Amino acid sequence: MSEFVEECRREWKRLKVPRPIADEMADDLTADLQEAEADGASVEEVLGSGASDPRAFAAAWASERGIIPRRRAHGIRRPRLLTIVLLVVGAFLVVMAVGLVALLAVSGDSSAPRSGVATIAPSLAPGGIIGTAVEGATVSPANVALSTGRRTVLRRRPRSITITFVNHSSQTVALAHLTVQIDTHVYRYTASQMVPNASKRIHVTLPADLPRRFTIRATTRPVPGEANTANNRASWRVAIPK
Amino acid sequence: MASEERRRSQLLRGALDLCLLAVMDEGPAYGYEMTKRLRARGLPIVGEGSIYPLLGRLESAGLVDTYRAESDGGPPRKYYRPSPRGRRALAQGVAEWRSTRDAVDAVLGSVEAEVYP
Repeated sequence: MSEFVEECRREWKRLKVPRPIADEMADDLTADLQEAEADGASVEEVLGSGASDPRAFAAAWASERGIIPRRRAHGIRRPRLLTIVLLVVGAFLVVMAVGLVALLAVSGDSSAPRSGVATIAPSLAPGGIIGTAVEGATVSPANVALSTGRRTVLRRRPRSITITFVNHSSQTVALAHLTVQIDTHVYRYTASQMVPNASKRIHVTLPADLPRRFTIRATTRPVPGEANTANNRASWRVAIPK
Repeated sequence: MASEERRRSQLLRGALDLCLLAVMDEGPAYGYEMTKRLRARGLPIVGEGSIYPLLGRLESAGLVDTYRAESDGGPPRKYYRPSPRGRRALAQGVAEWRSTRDAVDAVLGSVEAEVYP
């Protein structure tokens, strides 16, 4: 243990930590390590991962106390950081070069299919992307997000549900309609002037007469010009305790 | 380091300062004493970064007050306790922690439920 403290002392000296402060830290560390040893505790239990690298530990401690500038404390790591930066820049240049070659290859062959454009074309309208979508649902208390896949089994009986729907359009939707069906109960909501990317959350208090297993369905009515309506509907199967 | 340990370490990293403020709020404590208090709550710091740099950060940020005093039969130790600013930071941090924990639980809670349908 004293060897660990001596290593720290050497590092503080190298980093020009004032002697009285280095002595104080060394004394505190020595006292703690001695007490731990008497307790049968390992150095790792006192110092955590710092136990494996006394120089880094000493530098971090002095730096965090504001005794030495962070740059000086991390000076020994600078070459590693520089290597990482060079690798990232190198990787970026390689990706750019590959992308450029691919772009030239595609533009040189006018008969080649442009899969990217073909994929998004159905959701495009003359005025841009148009449409609303149901985004998700959570039940309270506990704020549990419901899954659209398998049935969500809740451990507590929920009091309310919050359903979020959004305007994915690049233009304002004058009137958006949302219908929520909870088991046999139907609720209808209207939101006006939903600006692009706006989201609305509606809260519904769950009826008291719900069976143990039920389904919640939410549907936004397609707006004029909406092509992609697959995300206008969502349903969640829920099981609740008696 | 195993992936479970690495995840645990990453999860703890953002909350360890709050844990330190919390245990020293129970009564002034020196470094190893805080380690013992954390361990007694089931939070050993083996594998985590040391608490000493973190205590240094809390000190330089003015979140703790310190003084030297004799320990029980041992050498003088540096005792830490939250400053008024540290207590406010603790309260705010705990609120943030709980909010984050609840939000993560909201996502993971349903996953857990699906494992045992």
